[in-house]
Amino acid sequence: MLTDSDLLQHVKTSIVTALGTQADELTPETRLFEDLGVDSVDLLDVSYELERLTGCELELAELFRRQDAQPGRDLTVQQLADILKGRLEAAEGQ
Amino acid sequence: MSRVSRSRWSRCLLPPADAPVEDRVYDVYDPPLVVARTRAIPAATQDLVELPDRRAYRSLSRTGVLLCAAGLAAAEALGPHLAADRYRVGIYCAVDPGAQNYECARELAGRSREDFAAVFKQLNHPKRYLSQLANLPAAHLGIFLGVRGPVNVYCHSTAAALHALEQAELDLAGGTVTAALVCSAFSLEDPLLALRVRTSCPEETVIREGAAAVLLTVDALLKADNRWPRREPRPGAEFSGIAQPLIDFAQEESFPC
Repeated sequence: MLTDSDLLQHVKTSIVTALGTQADELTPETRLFEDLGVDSVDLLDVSYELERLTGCELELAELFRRQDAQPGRDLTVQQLADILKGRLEAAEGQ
Repeated sequence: MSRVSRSRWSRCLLPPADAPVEDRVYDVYDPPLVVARTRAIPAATQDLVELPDRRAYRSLSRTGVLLCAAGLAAAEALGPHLAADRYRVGIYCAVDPGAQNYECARELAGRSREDFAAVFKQLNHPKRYLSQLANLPAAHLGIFLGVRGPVNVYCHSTAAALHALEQAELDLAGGTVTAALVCSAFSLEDPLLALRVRTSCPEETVIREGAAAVLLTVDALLKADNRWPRREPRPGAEFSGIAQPLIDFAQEESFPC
């Protein structure tokens, strides 16, 4: 089972790979849309890298529904790690 | 058609003089494909140029990054034209499509239909396809430079650079644009493309990576018989595929490369 720290590191690694961001620019509070300028294709790319690292497929539609439900609220690196954790736990429970 | 334009600025990116001539081995083939007598720019793709948006590297082939490297150098020369009217500055590119994913093709060979989708997805990130599009480097270049005028891309294997120059001339002559940035690039990234250029050249010709950019503006004083250069690969000379006519043109104008 991956620890919270592992998951956060995987999210950071995926962002660095997919977006070319410098690792030291990323904190748990970094906002994907506002701070990193992520668009939908970038988010698809980040989720692709996450799936390669963890074997867990993120539902992009779920991420976008989440954004639609909370307009103006950005998605942070930590929140992405939390969503990933929830998906992994759900997969283990099945 | 006759030329109406004059080169105001040009830039070539070519391998340094000490870059060795060597046979390039593409080991995605079994047995490996060898393209004889090549000369590459000795820098990793991401080190060719610092792009304004680092996300763009993921969706650009080496050829695309080379094209951006040549074109971005025109930023200062383009400045006055962009300031006057950025909708009347155009980009005209001659470039081959980005490299195919030959590693993926090798992995997929002999796989079952059931495995195909999973293996394909595993070996192709979502932006991989974008790197194979010929028009994307020009679009990136336009975004980076702030150009809002026409963006044209030509892919003909031998005449694309001339097509780009001629369309730039047409748009300058017709007043569609007041400045035209003409760019071209060629890299050795794609083995089949390198092989195609190799087989189209005399054996002694060195196949060379390269890129060029030329900024054209209207000059009505040019002689009417002044046409674009068009040359075949010469034995013993170096040849940069689709980009060679523009490199020739850039080197013939009075601006140092």
